[in-house]
Amino acid sequence: MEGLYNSQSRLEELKGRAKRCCCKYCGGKLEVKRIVFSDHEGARIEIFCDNCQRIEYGTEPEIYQSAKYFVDEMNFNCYADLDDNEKTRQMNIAKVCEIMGWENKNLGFLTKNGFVVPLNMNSNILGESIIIDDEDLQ
Amino acid sequence: MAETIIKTSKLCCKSGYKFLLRDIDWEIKKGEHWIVFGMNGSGKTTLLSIIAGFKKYTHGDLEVFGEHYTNDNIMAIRKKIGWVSSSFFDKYLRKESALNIVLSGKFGTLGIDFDISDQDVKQAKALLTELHLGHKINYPFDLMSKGERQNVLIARALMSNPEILVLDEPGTGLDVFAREHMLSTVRDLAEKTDVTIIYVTHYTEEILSDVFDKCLLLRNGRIYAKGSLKELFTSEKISSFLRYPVNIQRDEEDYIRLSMEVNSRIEKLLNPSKAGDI
Repeated sequence: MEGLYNSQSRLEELKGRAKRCCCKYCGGKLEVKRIVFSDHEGARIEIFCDNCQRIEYGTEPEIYQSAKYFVDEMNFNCYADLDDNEKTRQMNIAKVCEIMGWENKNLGFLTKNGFVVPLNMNSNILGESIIIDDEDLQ
Repeated sequence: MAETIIKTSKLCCKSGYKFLLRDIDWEIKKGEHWIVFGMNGSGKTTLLSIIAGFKKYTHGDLEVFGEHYTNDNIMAIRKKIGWVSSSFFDKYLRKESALNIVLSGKFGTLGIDFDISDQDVKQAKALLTELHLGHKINYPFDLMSKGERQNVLIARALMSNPEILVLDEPGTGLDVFAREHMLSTVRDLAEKTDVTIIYVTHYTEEILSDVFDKCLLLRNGRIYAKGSLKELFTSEKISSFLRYPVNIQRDEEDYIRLSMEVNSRIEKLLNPSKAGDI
């Protein structure tokens, strides 16, 4: 726990997370950004989604895929009072990501470093294609 | 004797050729309650963001809880400071949900962390509900009114049970009811806890004379005066500070009332034919 309050270890943790996880709203790539003006590197950075323009801690990509499938295919909507648009859809996906993340964390399947059990995902959830970027191929 | 928890010596903050703050010598002891009073652009937010560890200073010295900010301690120190400043946070927070913003207060960051417990989420929701935002827990910050955003930041500041509470114009944008509620929260914190409070305001009716006994007057980035609120908040001293004649009175409940004579020329500008020379 003490490491959490060390600026340097926080920096390393956020870098790792940004590389592994995706935005729980849009599924986009996350990046570590300098947000505030400080001398201390770890104290001025946060994980950011450029696509959404928000500070976003992110979720595991597998969780995002499952949540997206659940919202789109099962017509899940916990924001019935909001307009039915892309923003509401994203808020629903983010909410399901939070619930799934909470559950996996409490079952011991998920730590701050990612899943600690091998995943065998339903091919329906994975969809027809996945994107592999240069970093993954190295 | 109470320990010193914030100490600045000859603290300066320079941006380009301009000094935003110059030679700030200020010492705050545990449990003290300070009012910081100054006009727009006097450096109040800059000073507080430096103290809260969110901005760097360029010259001089700063000790918070007896330590200089370093890579190793900055996150731990920030966690002990509850900071409400819409003029700072409005620049960085947009689409983040109210709940995540409040949770970030636990870590003294702007984003959240993996180590959030169920108890943290319950506490954050309880704080938002107490501040009348129970129905907007998942709302993005930029879709909230100014008063609602202010209350989100107050909840964020209280999330970590801070030892120092820095309130930078917390009453701005709040409606009458919300402002009285906020002032009552501040009074409760001052009376029932040993939290040190620094309260920045432009409005003298927000100065709770029975709570705040110390005052810092800041002008053009320099300390104009500091000391006892009762001694500094007189018509003579505040007129000299503002370079404009004002009248300071205390009502029967010890609230400070500031009045000044300002003659508007708007009628002359709108109806030049009636008014003669402008």
